[in-house]
Amino acid sequence: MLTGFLILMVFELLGELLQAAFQMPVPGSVIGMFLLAAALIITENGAVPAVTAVLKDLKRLSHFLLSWMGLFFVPVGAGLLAERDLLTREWFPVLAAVTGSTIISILTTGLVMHFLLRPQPVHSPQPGRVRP
Amino acid sequence: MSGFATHLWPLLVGNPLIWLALTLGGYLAGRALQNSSGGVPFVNPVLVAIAVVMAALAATGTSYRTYFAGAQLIHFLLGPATIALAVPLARHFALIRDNLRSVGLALLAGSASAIISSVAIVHLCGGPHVIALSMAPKAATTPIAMAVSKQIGGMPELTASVAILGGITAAIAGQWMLKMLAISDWRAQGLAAGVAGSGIAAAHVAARNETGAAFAAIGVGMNGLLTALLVPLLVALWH
Repeated sequence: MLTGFLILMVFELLGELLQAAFQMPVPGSVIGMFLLAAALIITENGAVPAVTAVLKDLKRLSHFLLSWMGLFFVPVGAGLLAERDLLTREWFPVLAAVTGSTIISILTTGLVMHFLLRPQPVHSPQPGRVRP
Repeated sequence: MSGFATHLWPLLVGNPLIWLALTLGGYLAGRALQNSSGGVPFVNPVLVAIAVVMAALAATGTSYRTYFAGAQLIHFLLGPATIALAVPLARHFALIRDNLRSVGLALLAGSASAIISSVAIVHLCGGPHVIALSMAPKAATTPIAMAVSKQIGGMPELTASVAILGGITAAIAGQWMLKMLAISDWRAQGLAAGVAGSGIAAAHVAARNETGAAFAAIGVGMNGLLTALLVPLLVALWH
């Protein structure tokens, strides 16, 4: 999985460089994610055997990283500790706004998707919503 | 015990291994609890691990800075994991392209509703304006949220904290709430998680379904961009 790791690091570095060079408002890792996605879409069309082996490695690694991604947020998350004075003083508006607005945003996004999406082509057709 | 406290403890505090083990142990305990509870939403492994770490730091009187320096290696993997979202994203690119209009509208609606509702709720609860400003960009991925908060005169550290709390809330409540509304499509669940809860909620979805991971990746990336554009605009209109 080391080849895959090298690819991920190179694209993260590329994203960081672009972010710094053009003062982009998006973090380098997000730019790197879009760059790698674009590169994968391009290479998948013209499959070269050597590239295929590398891609397989990358897929295995990304599957591993994504299934553990929650863990990687814990060190930043424990930073709540540094804000505990403010959070205990203003806990009510903060907590109400965090839970309230997160739930409102989930429902809004989910409902708009639900009513505008075309039924999924391969599996789970939604009964009662027939669209051309 | 006093020998341990005076001689061994100072050696351990400076060793990153103890903080790495604590973080990994807390997370694994959270996963085991989640599995044995049959998937009760509130037993979220990220939440359990954060609680374990915070309790250990408070009990030993260790500063957050000391802990973070030790747990750096786990934090470092967040970057490669974010890039790794490109894999499901590329794989399901055709599915996203075919639903571009729905995805775009849902993104806009989800992003705007997160910003407006967080500011409105703080004011309704009688919170100070600076807290409302700090909450406005909280649905964006943490680095974007902090930068926007600073730009509009909020408190970036508070924004980082509420971004994490929001992510945990979205991971806990998201799947469960959309299921209640009979929205089981992973495309909708993934996008909603990415828009409302950024990385933490996206991680929750990405560990479960690949289509969900692709739409969560789009949600995190595009909501970051939209929040960076919308929040300064809305704040300017508010005044």
